[in-house]
Amino acid sequence: MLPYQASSSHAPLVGSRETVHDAEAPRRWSWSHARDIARSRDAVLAAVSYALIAAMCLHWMHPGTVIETGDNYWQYRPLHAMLRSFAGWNHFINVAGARSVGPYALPWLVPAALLSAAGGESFAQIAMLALMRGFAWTGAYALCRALGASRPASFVAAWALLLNPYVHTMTLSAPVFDWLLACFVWIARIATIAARDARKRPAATFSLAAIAAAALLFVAQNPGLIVLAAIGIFSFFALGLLIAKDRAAYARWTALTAAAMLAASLWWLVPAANYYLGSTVTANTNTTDYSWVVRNSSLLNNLRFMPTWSWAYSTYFTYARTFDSNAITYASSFLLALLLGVGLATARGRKAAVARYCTLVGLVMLFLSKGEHPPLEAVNALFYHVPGFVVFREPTSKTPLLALVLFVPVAAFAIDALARRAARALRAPRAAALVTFAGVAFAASAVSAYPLLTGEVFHGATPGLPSVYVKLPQYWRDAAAFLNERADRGAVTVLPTGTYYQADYTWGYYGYDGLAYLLIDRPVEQEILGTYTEVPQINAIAERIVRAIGARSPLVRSMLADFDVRYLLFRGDARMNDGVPSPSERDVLAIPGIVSVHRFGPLDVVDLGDPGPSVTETRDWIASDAETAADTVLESRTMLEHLPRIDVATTNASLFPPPAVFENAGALAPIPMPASVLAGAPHRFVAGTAATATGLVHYSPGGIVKTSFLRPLGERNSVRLTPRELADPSSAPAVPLLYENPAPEMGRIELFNPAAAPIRFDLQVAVQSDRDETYVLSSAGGVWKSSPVAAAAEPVFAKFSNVVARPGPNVFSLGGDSSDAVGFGELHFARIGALSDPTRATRDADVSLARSGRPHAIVGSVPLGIPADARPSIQLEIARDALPLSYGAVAELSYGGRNYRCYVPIPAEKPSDADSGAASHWSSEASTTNDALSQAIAACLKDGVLYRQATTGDLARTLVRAIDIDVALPPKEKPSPATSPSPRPMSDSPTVNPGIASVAVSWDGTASRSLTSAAPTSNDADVDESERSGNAYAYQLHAKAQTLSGNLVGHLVQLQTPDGTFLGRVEAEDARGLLLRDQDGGREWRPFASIDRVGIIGAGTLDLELTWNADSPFRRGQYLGIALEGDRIEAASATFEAQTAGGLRRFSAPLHVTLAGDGAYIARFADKAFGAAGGSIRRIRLNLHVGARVVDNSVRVRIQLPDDSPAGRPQIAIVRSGNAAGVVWADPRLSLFALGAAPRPAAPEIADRVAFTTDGLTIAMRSPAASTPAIFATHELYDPQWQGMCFGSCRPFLQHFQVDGYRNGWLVSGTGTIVIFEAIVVVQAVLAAASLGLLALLAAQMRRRAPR
Amino acid sequence: MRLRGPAALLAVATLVVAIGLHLARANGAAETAGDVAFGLLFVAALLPRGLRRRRRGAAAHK
Repeated sequence: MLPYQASSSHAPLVGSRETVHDAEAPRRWSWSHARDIARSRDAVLAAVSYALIAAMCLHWMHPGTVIETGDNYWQYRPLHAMLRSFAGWNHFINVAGARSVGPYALPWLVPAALLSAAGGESFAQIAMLALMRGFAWTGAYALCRALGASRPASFVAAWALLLNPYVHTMTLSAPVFDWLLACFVWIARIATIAARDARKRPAATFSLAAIAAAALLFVAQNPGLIVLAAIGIFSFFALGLLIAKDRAAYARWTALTAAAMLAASLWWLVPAANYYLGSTVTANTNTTDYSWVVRNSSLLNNLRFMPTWSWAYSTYFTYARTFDSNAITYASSFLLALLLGVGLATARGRKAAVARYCTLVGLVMLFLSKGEHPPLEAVNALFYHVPGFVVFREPTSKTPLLALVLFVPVAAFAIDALARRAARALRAPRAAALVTFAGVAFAASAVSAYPLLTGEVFHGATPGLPSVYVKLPQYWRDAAAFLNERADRGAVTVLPTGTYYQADYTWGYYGYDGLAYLLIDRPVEQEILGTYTEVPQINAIAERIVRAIGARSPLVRSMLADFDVRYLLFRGDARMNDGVPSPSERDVLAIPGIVSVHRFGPLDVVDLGDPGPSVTETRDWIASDAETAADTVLESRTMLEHLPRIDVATTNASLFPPPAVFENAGALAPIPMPASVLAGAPHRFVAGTAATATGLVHYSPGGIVKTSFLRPLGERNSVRLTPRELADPSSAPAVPLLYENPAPEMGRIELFNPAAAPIRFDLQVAVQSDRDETYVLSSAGGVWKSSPVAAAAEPVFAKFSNVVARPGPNVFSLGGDSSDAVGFGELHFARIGALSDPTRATRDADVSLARSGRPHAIVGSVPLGIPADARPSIQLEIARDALPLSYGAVAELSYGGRNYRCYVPIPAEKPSDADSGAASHWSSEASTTNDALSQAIAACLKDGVLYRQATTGDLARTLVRAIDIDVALPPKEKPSPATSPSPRPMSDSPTVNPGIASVAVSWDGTASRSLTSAAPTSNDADVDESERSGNAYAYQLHAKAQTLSGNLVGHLVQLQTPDGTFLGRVEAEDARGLLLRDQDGGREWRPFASIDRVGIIGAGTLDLELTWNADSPFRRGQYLGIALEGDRIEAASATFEAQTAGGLRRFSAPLHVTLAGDGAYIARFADKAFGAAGGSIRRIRLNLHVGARVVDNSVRVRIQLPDDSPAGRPQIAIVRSGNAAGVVWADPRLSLFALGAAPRPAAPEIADRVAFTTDGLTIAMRSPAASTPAIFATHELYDPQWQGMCFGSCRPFLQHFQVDGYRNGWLVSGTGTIVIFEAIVVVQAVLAAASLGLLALLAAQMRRRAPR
Repeated sequence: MRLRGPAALLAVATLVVAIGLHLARANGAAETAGDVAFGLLFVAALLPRGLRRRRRGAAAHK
C-alpha cells in the first residue's frame, strides 16, 4: 500500500516555490508496477527501516519468556480470547455475565494468534511490536512525503517518531498506544492524499472506513482513547483543508467520509458505548485526587514527550536519573521540540500553514496532557468540566500521542529547511547537507532512545518490581490444560482475591491479575477490583462467595452452583498483600462436599461436582424483598438487597477511652447500639430503620468495619520504597505501587457494604486537632471534604455528607491539613440509603423475585378451603433392600410445591415369634410401635413439621425400604368473589375445620380399611392411629398445611409515585400493627401509613385498615401495591372504604395482577380506583378476596419396613372427611407480626434442555409436561436488555424479571422453544453485517469511479 | 517585520536554556523556562509569517 500510494502521490506539496502539483492519475495495480515499487528509493528506505525495526525488536526477545508489566499482559490463548470476546455480553470474564466492551481486541488477536502458532509466544509478542512499529514508521514516512518532505527528512522524521521518548516510555505500557499511533499516521496520510487529489477520494473513503471498521476498534478498551481517536480524525481532516485546492469539495468529502467511518465502526462503537454508559465507572474520576498522574507533567517534560508519572520512579525506569542527568541524553530528548521551533521559523507558504496548524493542535494536546499541573492549571480544570472529558483523567498517556503524529511532518520540514539553508550558506551540495542534518537528527533520536536500542527499557528485577521478562510456570499451564480438557461443564472460581487489579506472584510476576482468564477456557469468576468500570452486583456476589468460603459455610457448594461454578482454583503462589482477608487454602479444602482435589504445584484445583443445569425452571417463587440470612449461611439466591445495610463488627476491647465530648453531646453521647454490638457480634445498620446509628467501632480482626483510628493519625502504611527513595524525601513517590494510603498522615477506614448496589450515607468521625482543620475523606469512589473543624482539646466530629460506598469492601482514607490531627474510632452513620441506582442493570426491574424469601411480617392468613368431593388414590411401591435396618417413619408434607419433612424413628423390637409369617410379624411389631409412631408423628407435626427438615442425613441412603404414601388433596373449586361481610376483629375465634385425610395402608391386598374420625376441635395438626386390622395399618392425618396458605405478607407493600420513586416497606411496630414507611425523595424513611387492624372475614377474605398520616394523605398518582404470598392464588379483588373529607365512601376496585405465578401475586391499586376522593383519603379499609387453586397438596407418609415384611403390593385407601371451609387463623406458632425467617424451603429447580448457548444467546426446550406457569431462569446477571421469546404453545413475548436479586427470569406458561438473547448482541450482529455491506458498497464505488 | 521566525527561534533558545538549567539542577527555573518556551512556540504558531509581507501584498493588490 505504501509504495504504490507513495510513488503515485509524492509530487511535493512544497517544491521550490510551494506549488501543489497535480497528482498523477491513479494506476491499477499490476505485477510490473509492483516491481517498479520494489525498485523505488522509497522501498529501499522502507526495507532499511524494517530491517532496523526487526533487529531492534528481536533484540528484546528473551526466548521462553514474555514481557509482562502492570497493564501490559500477554494473551496466552489469543484464539480462544478472540472467540469468547466476540459479543457485547460476556460471561467468561464474569460467570454471572456482564455487558462487554465487545470484540475490541480482535484486530490484535488475529495476527497475535497466527504469530503465536508460527513462532511461539516470545516471538509473537515481539513480532507484534515490530509489526505495529513498522506500520507506524511506514505511515509516518508516507505522511511526510505526502506533505512534501524529502525522502531523507521523511525517513528521519519517521524514525524520530519511533524513537521518541513517548514511544519509549509507552513501550512498557499496553500495546494499544502503539496500535493507535499506527492508525493515526495512516489516517493522516490518507486524508492528506485525499485532500491533494480528488480522484483518490473514493479509495480514501474506503480505506478510512476499513480502518474504522477493522482496526480502530482496538481503542475501545479505553473510553479516553475513543475520544482521542475522534479528535485525531477530525484534526487530520482539518489538516487536509490547508492543502486541498477544492476546499469545499474536500470539506464535503470529509463529512461523507466521517459519516462512513462512523457507520462502519458502529458495530463495535455501539457495544462499547453500551458497556461504558451502562456500567458503573469506579475509576477515580476526581482529577484533583488523581493529580499524582500529572506530577511529572510540566510543559517542559511535555515538550520532550516524557510527561508520564512513572518516569520519576527508578522502579519502572532504572536508568531515568542517569538519563536526565546526562547532558547528551537529556538534550536529545528535546529533538522534536527543537525541530518544531526550527520548522515553524523556516517553513514557507502552505508548508508554513501546515506547520502552524500541526504545531497549534499539537501544543493544545500537550497542554491538555499537562493536566492540573502548573501553570494555568485552572484552564485544565475547566477542560474537565466538559461533560465526559474526565476520561482524560490521565492525559499524559493519551493526548501526546496525537501531538507526536502532528509534530513529525514539521520536523521533516525543519530538516529540509536546515539542509537547504546550510547548503545555500556553505555553497555545498544540498544532498550532502540534507544527509548531514538527517544523520544528526537520526543520531539524536537514537541517543534519546538508547534504552530502547539496548533493551534496557525492559528492566530486570528492581527494588519494587520483578523482571518484566516472565516465564509462566509449567504448573499453571498444566492446571489450565486440566481444566480445559475436562469434558464437564462449569466455571472456575479463582482464589485468593485482592482489592487491586494487579497481582503479585512468587515466581516473578507483578501485574494484571487475569492469569486465570488468559489461560482457562471456561468462564472464570474472579473479583478484580480497581479497573475502570465495575459491575456492583458481580462484586457483591463474588465478595459473598469469598466470605462464605472463608467462613467454611456449608452453603458454599450451592452458592457456587447458583453461578454455574464447578471448580475452585486456589493460587498458592499469589501474594495478596493488600491486607484484605481472603480464604486460605485450608478454608478452601474444608468446603463441605468436595468431590476431588487436583494439585499442580502450589495450585489446588478443587472439584465441587456438577453445578447442575444452566437453565432451570421452578414454580416456587415469591415476590419479596428478601431479607438475607446471616452472613455465614447466606445463600446466593437470597441476595436480593433493596435495602442497603452497613455491616459493622466491633469489639468490646476498647483500646481508647471513648471521646468524652461530642457535638450534640446530648443526642450522641449515649451510644444507642445494642449490647450485641459492643459484645463483638456483627450488627447491621439497616437503612431506614433508624435515622442514625452511632457507636464505637474498633478494629476487629474478624470484623467487617475496621478502622485504624485507634491511634493517632500518622501511622504510615507500608509502601514499597527503595532505600534511595526513603533516604530522599523529595523523591518519595506520589503514588505507591500498591494502593495504600496516599499520604502518611492519613488514616484508614474499611467499610463493608453488603448491598448489591452502592449506598450513600453521612458519616461523622471523631477527630481532634490543635488547629482548625478541614478533613478529607477519599476512596476509589470519590472525595469528600468535611466542614471546617475547629481546634479543640477534645475530640469533635468531622462531618462528611453523602459518602458513597461501593458494594463489598471499601477503603477510605481520612486526613487533615496538618500532621497532628488525631482520629478516633468513633463513627456515626446517618441517612443511610440507596444511592439513586447507578446501575442501569437494575433500574428497570419493576418486580423482583426471590426464592426462600423472608417476609418482614405476616399479616394474616387466608384459608383456602378444600372440598370433600374427591377420593384420590395412589399406588405404593415397596423398595426392597437386603440391608436390615431399623425403621421409622418420615412424614412429608408437600404443599404448594414446598416439601416439609419429618423423620420419626421407630424403636425396633424383636419379633415375638420368629417363626411367624411376615405379616404377623409386622402386625405384632405394629401393635407395639403403634403408639410410639403415632405419637412421634404427632409430635413432629405439632412441633413444626413446617419448620423442620429431617436432620438425619440422606434418607434415601439410610432408609432402604420404604413406602411412600402420597395423599393428594383434590383441587379446590374456584371461589367466587365474596361479598363484603362485615369485618371481624382479630381477636375473634375463627371456625376451624381443616381438611382431614384418613389414610389406610394394608399389605395383604384385602384388609384395606377406610377410616374416618371426628373433626378435630382445634387446628393443631394431629395424627391418630385409628385402627389396625390384620396387617393393615391406618393413620388419620390432618393436612395442617392447608391452614398456611394464602398468607398476606406485608413485605411488599409498595408506594409508588408516578415518577417511579418507590420505596415503601412494612415494618413491625410492636404487637399492634404495622408501620408503613416510604422514602421521601429517596432520602429519609418516614412513616406514611399504618395498618391498624387486620381482620379475617371469611374464606378468602381479609380485612385491612390502613390509616394515612395527616401530613401525607394518599395522593393521586400513587398506588398501593400488596403482595400476596399464597399458593396458586388465582384472583383477587378489593373493596374499599375511604374516609374522605366528604365522609365515608365505599367503592370497589379490581386488582391489577402483575404476576400470577404459582407463588407470587402482586396486586396494585391505582389511584383511579379511589375515584374522585383520591386527594384526601386518609383511611382505607380493604377487603381482599383471594382465591386459590390447590393443585397438588399432598400428605406423604413414608413407612420403613422391616426386612421380612410381607411381600405384595400394598394398597391404600384415602377417605376425606370434612371440608376446610372455615376460617383459620395464622398458625399460632408464627408470630402474627414477627420479623424473621418464614418457613419456606425452596422447591427444586427443574432442568430445561438447552439446545444451544453462547454469549448472549440461549435456546432451550421446555418440556411438554411442564405446562404450568413457571419461572424460567438462567445464571446470567439480570440486565434489562435481555429478551425472552417462546415459540410454540405459549405467549411469544415473555415477561422478564430480575430473579433472586441478580439473575434473569422469565414467566413462561405453555410449552415450546424458548429463545433468550441479549439485545446488544443482536444489534451488534446486525451492525457488523451492515458494516461489511457498507465496505462492499464503498469498494464498488471506488472501482466504478477509478479512471480507466 | 517578521514575527513568527524570531518567536520560534526564541522558543528554541529558551528551550536550550531550560535544558541547561535542568542540567544545572535548577529544576524550578528549568520548568519556568520550559513554560516560556511553550508559550513562545504557541505564539509563533499563531503569528502570521510577518507583517511586512502582508503589507507588500496589500500594496501589490493596489
